[in-house]
Amino acid sequence: MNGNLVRLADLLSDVFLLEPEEFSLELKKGDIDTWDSLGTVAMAVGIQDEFGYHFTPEEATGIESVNDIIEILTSKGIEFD
Amino acid sequence: MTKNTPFWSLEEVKSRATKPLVVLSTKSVKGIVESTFDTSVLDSLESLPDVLGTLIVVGGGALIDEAKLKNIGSDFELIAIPSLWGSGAEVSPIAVFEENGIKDYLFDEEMLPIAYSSIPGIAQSLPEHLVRYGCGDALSHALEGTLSPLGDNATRITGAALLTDMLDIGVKLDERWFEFSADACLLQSQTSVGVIHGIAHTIEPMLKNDFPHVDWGHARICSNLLWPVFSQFILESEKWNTFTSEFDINVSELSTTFKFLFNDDDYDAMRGYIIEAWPQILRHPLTRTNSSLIRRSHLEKFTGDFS
Repeated sequence: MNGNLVRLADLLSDVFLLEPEEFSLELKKGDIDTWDSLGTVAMAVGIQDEFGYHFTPEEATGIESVNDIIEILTSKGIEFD
Repeated sequence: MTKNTPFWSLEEVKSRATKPLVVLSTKSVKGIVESTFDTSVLDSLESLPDVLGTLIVVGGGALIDEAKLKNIGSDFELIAIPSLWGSGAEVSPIAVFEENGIKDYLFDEEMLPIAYSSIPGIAQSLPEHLVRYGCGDALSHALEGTLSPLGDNATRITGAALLTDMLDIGVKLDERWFEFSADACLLQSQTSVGVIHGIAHTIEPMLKNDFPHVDWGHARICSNLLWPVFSQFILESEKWNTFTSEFDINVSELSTTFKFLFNDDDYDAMRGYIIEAWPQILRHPLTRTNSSLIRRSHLEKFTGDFS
């Protein structure tokens, strides 16, 4: 994983309180109980802290997977390889 | 700030309260309460009569919250009079309680008192450290409520004005803190609080259990967390710098105030519990609505020396 992917993986592990081996880029909202409404808030705050991008409320509530996060951030010029 | 619970003067309370009237009070202010209402005063909710028109509760946040929980689905009317500022419980649709050693909270507008009031001079007899803790509690609500990620521009404007008013008065015995405390409580009930409260709610039962004869209350713990959280997470953040510039917050005075509220010996006692309970603190709902993400590695930010 490149730098930004590692940063994202570390961040989301902290956001969703996962052990490193529990995290994967294929993770979806329904897979873990910590990805609830509070998890969405923490995720949005964490992304802003780490990558400087502030999700709109519509974006944040529409995110269902890690890939959705990557897609939005990529569209804002943040690269993940 | 608009409150759903109206303020009544003492004269209004006495004339409008539905009989039979019962007054419940914290022991520390029982004397002044008895002379105010010219009636005998209960000191426990356990001894409430079966037939009751109005219950007037006079006390701190914990007693008022206890009465609010009793109020849900009851036939009596509740009037709340705080004996000290801090929690703002008298105007809040949230009640905090402890069950099986864990602090939890309930949101229910049905618990709101029909009115709140004040007894002039009630806070005069209180010791200086309780006055200080009360100011710290109110400041922690104002700070975290203002910065909450669940707020909007309106709540930030309100919160900034409130913080400025609090700084103008300063940490001291001044009855204007009753109104600040109520406003701060309402603010955070509309937004949320953050890691100060996530930590406080987690370690308070632990401290009380291990030191039952020491007054480890919520306000004392929050007062001691303001400086560590402010200095480690807020002071250098871009979000905070943007906010303070926009709303002209006196950062230097805020820092001075939080340092004044911080006590080395108290924090030394708290530090071990923060370390021990860190996994629970991270999971606490209030930590998860903090204005910046609290990460596992951030434990080290709480273990330092803040003197």
